Amino acid sequence: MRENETLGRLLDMARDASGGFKKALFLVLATLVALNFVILPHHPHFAGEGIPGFWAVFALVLAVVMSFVLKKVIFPFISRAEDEND
Amino acid sequence: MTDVSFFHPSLAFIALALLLPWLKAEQHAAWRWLLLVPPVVAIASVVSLTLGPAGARTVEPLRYLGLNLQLGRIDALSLVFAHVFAVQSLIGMIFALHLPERRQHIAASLYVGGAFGCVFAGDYLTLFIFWELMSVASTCLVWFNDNPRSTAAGFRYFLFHVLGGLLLLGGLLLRHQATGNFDFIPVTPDAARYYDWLILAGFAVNAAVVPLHAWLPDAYPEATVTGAVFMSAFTTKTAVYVLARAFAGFEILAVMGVVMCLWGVFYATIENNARRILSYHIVSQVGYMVAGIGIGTSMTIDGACAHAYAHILYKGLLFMGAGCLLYAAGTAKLSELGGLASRLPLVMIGYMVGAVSISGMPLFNGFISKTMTITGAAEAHRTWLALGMEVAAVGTFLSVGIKLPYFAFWSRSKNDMPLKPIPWNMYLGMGIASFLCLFIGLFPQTLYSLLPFPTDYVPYTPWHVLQASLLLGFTGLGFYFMRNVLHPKPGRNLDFDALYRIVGMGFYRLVSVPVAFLDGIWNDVYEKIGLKGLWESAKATIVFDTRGIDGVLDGSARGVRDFGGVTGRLQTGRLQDYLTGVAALGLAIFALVWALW
Repeated sequence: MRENETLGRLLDMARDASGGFKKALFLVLATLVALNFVILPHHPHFAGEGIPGFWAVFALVLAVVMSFVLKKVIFPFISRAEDEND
Repeated sequence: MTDVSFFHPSLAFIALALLLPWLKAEQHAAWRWLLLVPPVVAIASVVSLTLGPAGARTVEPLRYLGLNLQLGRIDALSLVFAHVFAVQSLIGMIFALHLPERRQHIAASLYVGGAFGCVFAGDYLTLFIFWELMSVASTCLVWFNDNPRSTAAGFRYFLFHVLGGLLLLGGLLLRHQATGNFDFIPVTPDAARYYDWLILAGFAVNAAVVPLHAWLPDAYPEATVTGAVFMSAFTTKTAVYVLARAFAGFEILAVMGVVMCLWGVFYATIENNARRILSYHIVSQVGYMVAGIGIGTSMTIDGACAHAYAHILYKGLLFMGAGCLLYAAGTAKLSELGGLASRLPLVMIGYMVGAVSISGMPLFNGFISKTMTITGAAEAHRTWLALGMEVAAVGTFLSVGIKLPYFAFWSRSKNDMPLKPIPWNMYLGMGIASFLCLFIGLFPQTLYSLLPFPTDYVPYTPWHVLQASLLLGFTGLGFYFMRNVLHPKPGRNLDFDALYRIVGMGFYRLVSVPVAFLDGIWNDVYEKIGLKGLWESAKATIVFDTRGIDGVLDGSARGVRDFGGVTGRLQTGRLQDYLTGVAALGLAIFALVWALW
C-alpha cells in the first residue's frame, strides 16, 4: 500500500515551520505553569506538590539530569558492539 | 461450583494450528481469512461470559491421568485479561494477514491459545501445561526470523523460560506434596511457604522482574516482525495475571515493580535499536503492574489490571510501528533511520498514538490506567514508590515518546533510503489499535467496568490533567535541551545478561574444575591400586583356571579316556570272550554272596 503523499507534504511543511512550533510549545508550557497557580491538588500526595511549578521543575531537571548521567556517564561503561553476543 | 459452559478460546486457536499444516502456502490468499476466525470466536466467547451471583464460575473439570484439570475458571480477574487477549489476538492476526508462511501462524496460534489456557486455568497443573505451550511457541516466533542472531537469542530465551518453568513445576509439586491439591488460589504473604516462593520465582521470570528480565530485551528485538507484536502482549501480561491471582500484597513485588519501572526507562534512554527500546519499556511498564499488585490495595490491583489492558494495546501498536519501520527500511536502528516522517506518515502517526498513550498523555488510554496505579500507591501512603513511578513516567516520555520517534522519523532532512511498500493489513492493525487507545482514553468507564474491584476513580480532574501535562511538557523541553547528548550510537548495552554469562561460566568452572580434579585422583588410584589389584586377581584367576578348572576338567577327561581304553579292549567282538567274562562275573558274584552269607 502506498503512503498518503498529501499527508507527507503536510509533514514536510510542518518541518519547515519548526520555528513556529517551537514558539507554540514555549507558549503552551508557560500557560501550563500559569494554570498551576490556580489549579492545585486538594490533597497533595507529595511534599512540594502544592507549590506552583513543582512538576514542571521536577520533569525538566529530571529529563536533563537523566539524559546527561545515562548518556555521558553510564553509557560509555556499558556500551558494546552490536554483535557482542554473536 | 460448575454452573457455566463456554467455548474455550484456546480450542479455536489450537484447531487453527492443527489445520494450517494441511493447507498449501500457494493458496494463502484463500486461507488467510481463516486466521481471523479464532480471534472472532474468542471475542464472542469472552463477551458472552457473565459472572454468577457468587462472582466466580467454573466449568466441569477434565479428568486426565487420574487428575482433575480445571480448564475454565471464570471470574472478574480472568475476564479482564481474556477480554484484552481476545482483542489483541484479532489485531495481531490482522497485522500478520499478509504472511504466507504457515509456521509463523501456527506458532502464534499456539502461543495465544496457551495464553488463554493460563488465564482460565483453575489449578496449577493446567496452568503449567499452557504455560509451557506458550514458552515453546514463543521461542519459535524468535527462531522463525531465520538468522543466526535470532537463533542464538531464541536458545537463550528458551533456556531462561525452561528455568522459569522448572521453578514453577518444582513449586507446584512440592505444594501438592504439602497440601494435597493443585488449587491455584491466592496466598497471603504471612502464610507463604518455600514452595510458594518457588512458584513466585517462576512467575517472576515471565514477568521480567529485574534481575530476571534480560531475556526480554535480548529476544524480542530478534523476533519476527509480526511475532514481536504477539510477544509484546501475552508472555509478561500472563505473568501479571498469575501474580495478581496468587501473590497480591507481597511487599517484594511492590519494591521490585518500581525497580523495573526505573531500570527499563534508564536502558531505553540510551539504547539504539527501536525494538530493544520498546522491549525495555515492557520491563518498565510491567513494573507499574507488578508494583500495583505488590502494594495490594483494591485500587492498585485495579490499576495494575487497567494498565495491563491499556499496555497490551499501546505496546502492540508501538511494536507494529517499529515493525513497519523494520519491514519497510530493513533496519530498526535509530542510527540508520531518520527523516522518514513524510515518507511513512501513517506509520509515524500510528506510532505517535502509541507513544503518547504509553507516556500517559490525557485523552489516551495510558493516562487513565497509569494515573490510577500511581494515585493508588500514593493513597496507600507508599509515597516513595509513587514517586519512583513518576520518575519512570518522565523517562518513558523522554525515551519512547520523544527520542525514538524524533530519531526515527525526524532528526534529519528527508531520507532517500529505499523503502519496501507496507501491506494494507499492517496499516489496518495499527489503525484499530490506535482507535482503541484513543477510545478507551476518552471513555475510561469502558475499561473501568471490566476491573475486578468496583472503582470510583475519576482520571479527568483538572489537577490530574494539568499535572500530567506539566510532566510531559517539561520533559519535552528537557529533551529539546539534551537532544544532541541523546543522539543514538550503534551498539548494545551490557545488562544482567552479562552477569548471567559470568554466573554460567562460574558454574561451569565450579563443576568442571572439581570434577576434573576428582577424575585425576581417580585415575591415579585406579592405576596404582585398581590396575594392580586387577592384575593380581587376573593371575589368581589364571592359577585357578589352570590348576583348578583345567585340572578337574583334564582329570575327568583323562579318566574317561582311560576307562574308554579299557572298555575298548574288552570289546573284542568274539562271543566266547563275552561268555567267559559273564561266567567269571557270575562266579565272582557267587563267591561274594557265599563269603558274605
